[in-house]
Amino acid sequence: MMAFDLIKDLYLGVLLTLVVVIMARNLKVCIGFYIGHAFLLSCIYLWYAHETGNLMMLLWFATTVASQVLLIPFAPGGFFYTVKRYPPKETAPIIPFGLSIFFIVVLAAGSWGFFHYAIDFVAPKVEALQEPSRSNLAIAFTVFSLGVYTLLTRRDTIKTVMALCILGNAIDLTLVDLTPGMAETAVLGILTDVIISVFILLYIGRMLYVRFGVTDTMKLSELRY
Amino acid sequence: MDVKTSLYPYVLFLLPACGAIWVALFGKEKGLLREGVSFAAVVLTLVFSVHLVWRSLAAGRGAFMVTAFFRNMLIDSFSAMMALLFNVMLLLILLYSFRYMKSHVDSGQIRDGRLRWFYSLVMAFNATMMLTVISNNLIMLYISVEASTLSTALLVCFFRDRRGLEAAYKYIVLIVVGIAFALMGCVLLYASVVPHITGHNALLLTEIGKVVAIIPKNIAVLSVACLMIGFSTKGGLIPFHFWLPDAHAEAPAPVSAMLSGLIIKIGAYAFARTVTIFTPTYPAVAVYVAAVACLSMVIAALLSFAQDDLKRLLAFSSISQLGYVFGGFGLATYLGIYGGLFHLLNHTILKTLLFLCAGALIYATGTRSIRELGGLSRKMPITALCFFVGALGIGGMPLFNSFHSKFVLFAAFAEQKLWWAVAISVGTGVLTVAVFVWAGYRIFWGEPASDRVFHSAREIPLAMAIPMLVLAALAVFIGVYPQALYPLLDNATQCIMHTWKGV
Repeated sequence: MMAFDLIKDLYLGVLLTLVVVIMARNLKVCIGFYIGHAFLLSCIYLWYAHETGNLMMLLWFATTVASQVLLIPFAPGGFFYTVKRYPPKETAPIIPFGLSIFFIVVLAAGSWGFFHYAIDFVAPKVEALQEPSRSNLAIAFTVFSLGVYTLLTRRDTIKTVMALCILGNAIDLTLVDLTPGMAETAVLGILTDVIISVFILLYIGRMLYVRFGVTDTMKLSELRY
Repeated sequence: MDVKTSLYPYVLFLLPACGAIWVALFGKEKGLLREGVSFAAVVLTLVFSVHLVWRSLAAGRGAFMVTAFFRNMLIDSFSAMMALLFNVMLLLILLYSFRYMKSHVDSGQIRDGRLRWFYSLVMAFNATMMLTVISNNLIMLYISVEASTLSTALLVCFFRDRRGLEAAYKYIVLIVVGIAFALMGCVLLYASVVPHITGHNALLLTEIGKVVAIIPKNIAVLSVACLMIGFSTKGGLIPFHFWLPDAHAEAPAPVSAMLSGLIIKIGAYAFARTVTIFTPTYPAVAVYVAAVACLSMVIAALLSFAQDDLKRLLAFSSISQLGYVFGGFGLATYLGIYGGLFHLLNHTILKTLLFLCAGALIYATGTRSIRELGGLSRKMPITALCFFVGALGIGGMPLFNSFHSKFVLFAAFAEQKLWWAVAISVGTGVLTVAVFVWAGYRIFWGEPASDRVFHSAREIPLAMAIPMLVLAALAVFIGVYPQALYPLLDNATQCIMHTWKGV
């Protein structure tokens, strides 16, 4: 029971830190909370490694800490490196704060309700119908929806990159929740943790800002004719 | 079927990969270490591809298969055909690039030293293409598709101008989001086949084909939807196409040819390997795919009329033509897959040719605005000839290659009694001819709009003309003698159909 509580708390922590990542306007605060979000995510893999005895999960935990917690934020070309060259505050989002919170609550409540009342519709296996899998799937789906929501409503280039990372993390959460006991799951998670796209996007974002002063994706409109 | 393990899959991937590393490390100056190594890497990969196609033809209908890396890598007739097609196109694009990219160095737009990154990224892209065609593992397929995007993103913004950077930004963001959906589809599929397949086999495409009928229906539908979104984004189908016109237009001409000729075909290839597995069990998928494909065909063909930028016009045409390919694959009948493959091959040849022609016009006049061009047939007869071969070919005129593939696709839609799809695809063909004849006439026979552009125009050097002439000759050859490709296409079609049965 204790173990179930812990994994639920970890999933909830992943979700709450994510909400701060989306809502905070100060980019350094966003990155700080992203690190927390990624660390809690990696702790979930550690928990599954302990519970299922799947040692490959430990490797997944280690690679996630290395890539999401250390490399992406701290490496040259990463989040902090880019933010140093950026305005400290995020370009104003399309949707204001209050409305954004409302949408986030609706998304979270919607997926919670869906995964508790219509789980049969999307459960690929029997285990997914039970707790804590069902609640965790709801949170994974919420994280995925919030990634898409961030992409659609945030105008800042760095926030867009964070949204892509969030989408990847949501898929990893779904994966680990559905097939936690298999060695292949960890291999799959490690191999799909592609961080090169993040660095290339941050590089292009920096070039756009340094050369043309653009951090606002809505101003990337030269090609609309 | 006799399945053997072999080193060929490794060789196909490692040759261009080593070429990429070599050029990045030692290709600082022009010459053997840069252009020479790039050329040699593609030629060697091509030689191996030819050998594989030869072996697949000798083995007979769908009987050729070699594997490696615990069956995670697989080469069958379909893979061999794609490897051959990709390498022939890349070789011609590379030959064209040597002179074309040098002209940008001569004009001071880029430094000569930066060309090593150009050739290194082209080689890296070739390695990712080869990895895609040899993947029998769902996740390896996803990784290779993603890697092909990343390796070409920096090529799109190679000139580092604002429009190029914008295009590259959109290109990566939209494709990474699309491919994230494909990954979600892969994860759901994996989770649903795990109870039926043990160990790493749960990720093998050839194994998944065996159990598709027994996985829960809702999950199958959800997986198909996710895979469809992912690979259609890569293939540039409407409504997932927003990256495509920008990236095609702003990239250097050889990269545009690669994008249109090769990269969007990776999406089609991945689609053929994954989504078509479901169609025999869920026939509704065919109708859904045909609807999306027809939407792409007609909307993109109409949008192409509104373009003044020649490369954007070609890009919209690519979206339209890929509709035919996806539509054919989606039907998952012998005729549909055969037509889809045939049109994929023809479109690769024709669109590579047309983008190289656009590059020739930019090289000669410095502009790609149709409004500013005119009367160039006298100044650039070779380019005019090649453009018209490409234009008539893409329009599906008789005696040109895509006439046959479009005809097969019309028959495939009719066989399934999808009469609305037949009507839309025939109508789109007419629109395509109209837009290309209008553009070609305006550029080569129309009244010169700008004296400066007209007087500065000159025919391109032979080094650039030869790849275009080879492509034009191929288009006409297949147009008058399509039988030459029948065994190849038949073998490849059989391979895709074998995957459903899990052979």
